[in-house]
Amino acid sequence: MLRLAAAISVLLVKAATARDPAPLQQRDGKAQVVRIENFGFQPEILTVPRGATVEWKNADIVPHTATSVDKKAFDSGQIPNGGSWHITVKEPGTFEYQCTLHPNMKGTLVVR
Amino acid sequence: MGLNLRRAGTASGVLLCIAGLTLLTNGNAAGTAPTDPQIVGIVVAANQIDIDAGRLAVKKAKSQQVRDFAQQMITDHGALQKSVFDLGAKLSVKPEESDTSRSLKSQAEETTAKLKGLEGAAFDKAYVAHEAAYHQAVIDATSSVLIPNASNAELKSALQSAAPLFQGHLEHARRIQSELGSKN
Repeated sequence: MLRLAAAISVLLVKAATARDPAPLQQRDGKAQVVRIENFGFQPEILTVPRGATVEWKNADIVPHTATSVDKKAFDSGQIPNGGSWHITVKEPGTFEYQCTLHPNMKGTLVVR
Repeated sequence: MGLNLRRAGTASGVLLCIAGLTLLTNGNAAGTAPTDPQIVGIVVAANQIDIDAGRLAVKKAKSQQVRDFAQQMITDHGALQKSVFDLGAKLSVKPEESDTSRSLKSQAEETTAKLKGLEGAAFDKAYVAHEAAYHQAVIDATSSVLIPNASNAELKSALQSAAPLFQGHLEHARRIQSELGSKN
């Protein structure tokens, strides 16, 4: 009976993982990526679990920044075109951020 | 568009370049669609005009915010200019002058002369108003004339990709314009 319960719980975990790829990516140690392209953040809103690594990849033709609006939570400084920057998020919360060089570029990072 | 032009007009009266881009849209309506080499030539001219205006503003602007914006215009339009030349070389499309590109350049010279005659806060307001109106005009011309008439798919795609840059600059300029206005 215990074995059956264990088997069911494993299945449930696998099913949950398949529906939500984020924990799987995290377990594999891959960063979740925000692509900077055409003067925008993609995805605009990214939700990650606490402890996740988030990477901003600048695929645009000019440097950009990923800077929390409060300027305290995180600030990438200039990410050169073709470059990237990453953080490991430790505290839960909703962090609105922007490119300080192009203030119309806005994104939101949600840490659960 | 109308609102921006009115704002720019009241602030500075330096709208000559915009008149050139309006000419472009009117020209298209009259059936003079630009060719791909002419489209590249127009983009190159429009870019260079904004780079040159930025260089002037970096030297003359009173406000640090305006100088930073001007520097951003130099950086962004410089990068865009390089990508336009790279794409032109890749596609073997050589930038070609047209009445529109020539008109843009000659009118930009007049705009520059007017801006050079202004100092301090008056310069800042005029430059930022010009930038807002100019980017709006570029957005309109790009969407209504350049993109529809680009025959090469890659050129068309590149023009579409540049649209967010112009839109971002427009919003940035409008924000500064509003902040400069509120300081009075």
